[in-house]
Amino acid sequence: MSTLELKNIALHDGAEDVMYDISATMSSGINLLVGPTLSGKTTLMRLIAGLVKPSSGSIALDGADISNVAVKDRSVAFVYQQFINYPSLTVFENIASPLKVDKVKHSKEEIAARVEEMAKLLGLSPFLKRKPSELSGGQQQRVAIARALARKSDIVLLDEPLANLDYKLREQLRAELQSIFSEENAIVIYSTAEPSEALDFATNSFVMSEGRIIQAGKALDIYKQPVNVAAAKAMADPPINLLPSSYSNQRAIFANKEFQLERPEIIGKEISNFTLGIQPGKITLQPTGSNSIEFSAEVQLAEVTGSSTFVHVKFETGQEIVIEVEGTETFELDQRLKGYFNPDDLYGFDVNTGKSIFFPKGSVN
Amino acid sequence: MTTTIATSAAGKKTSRFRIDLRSWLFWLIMAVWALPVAWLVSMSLRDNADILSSFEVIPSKISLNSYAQFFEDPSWIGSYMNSITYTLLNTVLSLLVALPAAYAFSRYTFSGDKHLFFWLLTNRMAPAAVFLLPFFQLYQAANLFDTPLGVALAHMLFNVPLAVWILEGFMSGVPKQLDEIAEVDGYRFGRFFLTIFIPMIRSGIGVTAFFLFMFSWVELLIARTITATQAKPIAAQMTRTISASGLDWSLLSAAGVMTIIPGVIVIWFVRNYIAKGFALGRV
Repeated sequence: MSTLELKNIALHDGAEDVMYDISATMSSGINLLVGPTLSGKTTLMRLIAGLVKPSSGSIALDGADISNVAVKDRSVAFVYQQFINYPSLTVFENIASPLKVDKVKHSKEEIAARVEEMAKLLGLSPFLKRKPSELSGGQQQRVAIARALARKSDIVLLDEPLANLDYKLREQLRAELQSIFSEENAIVIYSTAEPSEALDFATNSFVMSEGRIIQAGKALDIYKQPVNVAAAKAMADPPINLLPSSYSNQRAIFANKEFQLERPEIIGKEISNFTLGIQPGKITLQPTGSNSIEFSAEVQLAEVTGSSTFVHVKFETGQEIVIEVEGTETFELDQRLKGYFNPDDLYGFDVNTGKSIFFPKGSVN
Repeated sequence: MTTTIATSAAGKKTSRFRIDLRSWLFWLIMAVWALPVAWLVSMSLRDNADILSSFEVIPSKISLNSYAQFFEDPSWIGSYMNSITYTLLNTVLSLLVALPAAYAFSRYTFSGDKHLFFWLLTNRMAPAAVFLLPFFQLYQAANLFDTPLGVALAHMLFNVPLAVWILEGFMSGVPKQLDEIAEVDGYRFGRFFLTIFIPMIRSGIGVTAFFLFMFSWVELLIARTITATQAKPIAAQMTRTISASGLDWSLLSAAGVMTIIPGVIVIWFVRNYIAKGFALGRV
């Protein structure tokens, strides 16, 4: 079991701040960096790899400061979102290359054995003599992953490794990666912009937003109890509905609907408005219980995905929300539609700071 | 059914006619272009008396005397070898200097990098004659006068900027992540550069080498000025062939043919890279 400790890392590019005071402890197994594009995931990985020097702060591996260790001497492997392999080398040579240049000398037989082991693990055995350009995208990324694993580095960085693959391959490779990494002792840092992927891994996650780690914990816990709007957005797929609401005397107004909202978190506090959030899947077209609140809105757009339909509806106030409906249903444009939600499923965020005020009932442990 | 056949046949006819016209034009242009070369080859295979007495493109009497003379006379074969020596030397040296320079321009940002990059090209804007006097004096002082190395160095003045310019385009075509991956994998820079990076831009290097060779090979003014007898280029030798008996047409033609050959060989070697290279780079 090894640990990687980031202590107060900050990065400035000229007068611009890129990273703010990042502290985190990552241990063996998969650690997720979750956040939208440009949230700083790649930059943080480059900092850990040593490709970028932090302006302040330090990085320690098992207690030893590695901030000043040269990139090539760090026990790190990196897989980029783009399939980066050595184009002039064969698949075999690609996987073997980190071993060939390793400070610890490996015999030819040893290297060949390790390459074959990696190839077998990632299903590349039939392609060892080919050049990367002669492989499909998924296979190219497998080569990159095999190369990253070949040297048994202490830290393996995977920067959105599946983002450029099609859906089916992504599902398949993700499942494989999970089983591969569960056997490795390495600290695997895996970044993703997709909440569903994070929830699927169900492991230690760090939510990033605008160069900060805003929340750390198990993916599902973050999903249930995001610290703020940014964390809720980063972990919600489809995107969470957010509507500014006013509140007084335990009654809230959500769009054009006024209803009873009883939450111990806000009782007795002087709050007159907040942002209410609700997952699109929590809004239904039939009442689900006695405390369901009914509302009506106009259909703007219906997106049909394979298993569900996203209906964009608009209130008289001009505000829009998205409803996720199971299965594929057809909707007429401008059709009026009745929707139902349960006040217990609502998130509440501070209007100004975005900080969470309350979570859906039942999510509090 | 019949109508379809008829139309397709008619279509074929017109298209074949078109292709014919095009290929005729092509051969016509090729003939116009090839004529001077053919004439040169023809003259080199005839005696002086024959050249002056009768007008013919295809020689009726072939003689290899002038070629024999070319290879036997040390002033001819010597200057020919001089040209080849300094051209090759220049190509190799220019590439050695330009590769790291182009890498720096392609991979790093430093203050004034864009201006410096453009300034390199401006070196080509001054006529070679501008540099004649300083070179002449400088080379006398540095004992480089009349040496192949001296000519090679002088030609680097305009060849290195060109090489940097071409190579930078090719290098920028290689994603920077590749450099980083190699660094993360533990490659020492030198090893990465030689075993991974260079093979990736080999078509660019081929194209660059072609240009370096070509410009150095055809350059006459500088090469002639900073040489006397030891490193005299073939082109200079060709301008000094008027003797008491007049021009030696046949020998001069033979020298001309010999001068074309290295270029042909170089093009033959880089022909596969040229098309690919021009598409990739931004020459």
